[in-house]
Amino acid sequence: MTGLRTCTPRIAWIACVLGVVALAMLATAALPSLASQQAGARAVHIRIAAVEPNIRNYDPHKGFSGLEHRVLYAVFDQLVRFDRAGNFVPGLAESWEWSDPRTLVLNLRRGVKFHDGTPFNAEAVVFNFRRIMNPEEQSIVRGEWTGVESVEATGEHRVRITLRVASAAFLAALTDRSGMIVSPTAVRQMGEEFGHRPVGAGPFVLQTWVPGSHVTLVRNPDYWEKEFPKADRLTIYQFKADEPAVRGLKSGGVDFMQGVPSKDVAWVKASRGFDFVDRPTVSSLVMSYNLTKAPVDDVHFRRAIQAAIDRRAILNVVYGGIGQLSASMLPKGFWSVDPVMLAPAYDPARAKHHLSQSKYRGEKLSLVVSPDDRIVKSAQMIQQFLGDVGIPAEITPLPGPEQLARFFTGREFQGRIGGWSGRSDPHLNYFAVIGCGGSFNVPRPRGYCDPRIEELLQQGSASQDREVRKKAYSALDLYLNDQAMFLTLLHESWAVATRKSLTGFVPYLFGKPIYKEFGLR
Amino acid sequence: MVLVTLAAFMLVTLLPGDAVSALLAAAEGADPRIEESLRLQFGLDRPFAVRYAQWLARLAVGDLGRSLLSRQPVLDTILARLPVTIILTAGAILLSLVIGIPLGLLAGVRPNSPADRLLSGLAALGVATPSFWLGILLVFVFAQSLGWLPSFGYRSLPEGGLSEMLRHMLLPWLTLSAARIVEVVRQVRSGTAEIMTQDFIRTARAKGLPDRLVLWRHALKNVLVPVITVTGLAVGHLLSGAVVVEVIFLLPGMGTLVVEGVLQRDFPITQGVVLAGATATIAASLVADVLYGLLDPRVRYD
Repeated sequence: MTGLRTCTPRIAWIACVLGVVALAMLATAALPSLASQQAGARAVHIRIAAVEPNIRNYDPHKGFSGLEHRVLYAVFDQLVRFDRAGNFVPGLAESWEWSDPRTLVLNLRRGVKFHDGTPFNAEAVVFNFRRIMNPEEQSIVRGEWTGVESVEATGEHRVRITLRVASAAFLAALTDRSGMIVSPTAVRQMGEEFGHRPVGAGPFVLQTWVPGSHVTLVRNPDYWEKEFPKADRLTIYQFKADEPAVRGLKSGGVDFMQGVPSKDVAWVKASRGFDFVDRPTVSSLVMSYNLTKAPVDDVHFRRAIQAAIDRRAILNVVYGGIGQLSASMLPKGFWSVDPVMLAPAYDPARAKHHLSQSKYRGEKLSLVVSPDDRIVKSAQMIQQFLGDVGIPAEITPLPGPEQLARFFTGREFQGRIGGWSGRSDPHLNYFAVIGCGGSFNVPRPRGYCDPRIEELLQQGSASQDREVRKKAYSALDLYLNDQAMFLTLLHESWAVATRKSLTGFVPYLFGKPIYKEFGLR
Repeated sequence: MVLVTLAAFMLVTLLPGDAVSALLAAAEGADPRIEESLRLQFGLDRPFAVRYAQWLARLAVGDLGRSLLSRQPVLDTILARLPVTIILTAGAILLSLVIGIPLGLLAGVRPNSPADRLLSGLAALGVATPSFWLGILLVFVFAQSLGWLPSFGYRSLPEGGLSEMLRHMLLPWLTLSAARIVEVVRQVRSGTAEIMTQDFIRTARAKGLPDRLVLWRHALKNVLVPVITVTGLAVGHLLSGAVVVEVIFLLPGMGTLVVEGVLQRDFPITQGVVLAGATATIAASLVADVLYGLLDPRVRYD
């Protein structure tokens, strides 16, 4: 041991200790961990790569982004769920009945507890509903509740909701944020901290959330559906961009990734460990406007934009052809979409004709864009298409919170190019984006209100008969396309890379993974 | 230190876009009255000097305020993130010394030998390599192609034990320390080359001491003084480098915290992290000064 003999006092001694420590570190680092492998055999741990920049909180009533839903579904249970065909099925509400077209009675599931031990009952549900309806709480989904006259507990496990106007689609709201029930005890105790330490009654308990890094979910041992969750532990790594997430996938550090960029699809398909799943979703890339501002308040100008954009080219170039073009806000194959309806065609000559009929005088169109790789590239192509017909456009990438502050309030920009993650029911989609008082209708809080749209929305939501509803939504699609009020550029594919040993992943049209079903073979 | 607090405070308050509008926009139907009351609550209505003074007064009792988003105390948030950043930077310093000193000695003992030329060439390359690029390259080789190490993520000791933690930290350490290793090699090389020509080394050799002992016992001690200087000064660089490395490797430290803070306009968080970083930098140069005294009897502080 000559190395140790040279360990003479002071410096050399320090250097030697450092050296030994470092060697020990390297040695242990190079060895695979036996202990963790053995633990892995018992507990099912699933690792997910998610490109989720800028998640602000996990409070279902107060969030903003559709990307939050993946975790929200895991931590909170909804009152009503939808099955693969989009039918309503029981969740925390065991059953429900319309005692008249304006009165909905929910019968709640018994014996359910929130993660903090608070019993789930009518009192808790009413607390949730009142929280959403209270203007001071500023809930993101308050718009869905403006038609509600009253809510009350009529028994330990029974809640009655009275609507001002009959709306069968109200039930749809209870499958989404509005139906996710938070623990009243936790909300009272934590106040505004709740969004960072959410407590629900869902299949997973949120153990840690380190913003900008990861979310750890662990099994809720008391979950009422005994066969779920399949996994004991789920780590969701929240990447800021596609590239590092793909590196995580390629290094085998994750088991599941949604939204694989098109250039990496070939790798996934060729890999021995992963399968690639290309199935349509309701999630889309959209161009929306502040319809109260010139020049986009002019229908001729909007028609010019609609005809100037080659959507097929965007799908092929930016998304590698993975995704679909639909004539509706919802994808082809969704029950409300008329399969024979024609999508707006790309026709630059026609665009110039529309432009000549408009009041437009060549001023710059200013658009806000979500700072996602693919969305920015798509926006750059749109900028090019608009320039070709004589509309100079300026695009400004801004993260969600800034978009809210500067675009959705109506302060700046005439339009937005960004994602719309989609909802389970057509009403929730159309209402949020173009309905009077919808959360994403600009300028907030009321947005742009159009009587024809309101009439069709009312027709679509009044009945529970799908054929009746479908007729209303098809008419709405036709109207929106004719008025060019809202441009659905394309619908995204799941574009999922899933480890071959991962079970339980179902590519629902809804496009948001249900983590409780995930397991490992 | 006063300048540091002023800079930290100004840096954030002068940023465009304020937290109230960002916060409120998230809620539907922002009521102007609510906006006003929030501004009052955050004290945004008062003049800059007053806000700065109040912030300093709270700082003096260890109150860094609360995050605008999570509503948790900034100090708690920073303390929760601190261990990761300490492990990252301390590991990088250790690695730079453990790798850099022997290589520097090797190059410096025989200047212009093939080994020296090779190392100097590599050092030049190392200086020119940006850390984010190196990080991606290391991930490509060790995680993607060879599959030896994970490409991202962090395991604390209780979560995965020592070996899991080290496996996750190795690539971040290498990425962060690369530029430091080069720095240490260059310092040790030039120091050794100079010292080896001096009289006391010749005397030691003349006494018949073996080369190894001359090097480790007599030369190294003198060479280490400038190494400690650069290492002390490097803490600032390391902390800023840690921001990049933490984002690349998705480590839940102060780097990812400050990036979130800036993106989300959460100014108490940003201020807190900037302040903590600056304090650590100053503390590091203090530690370096104390170490001189231990190593070099000629340095005495009266």
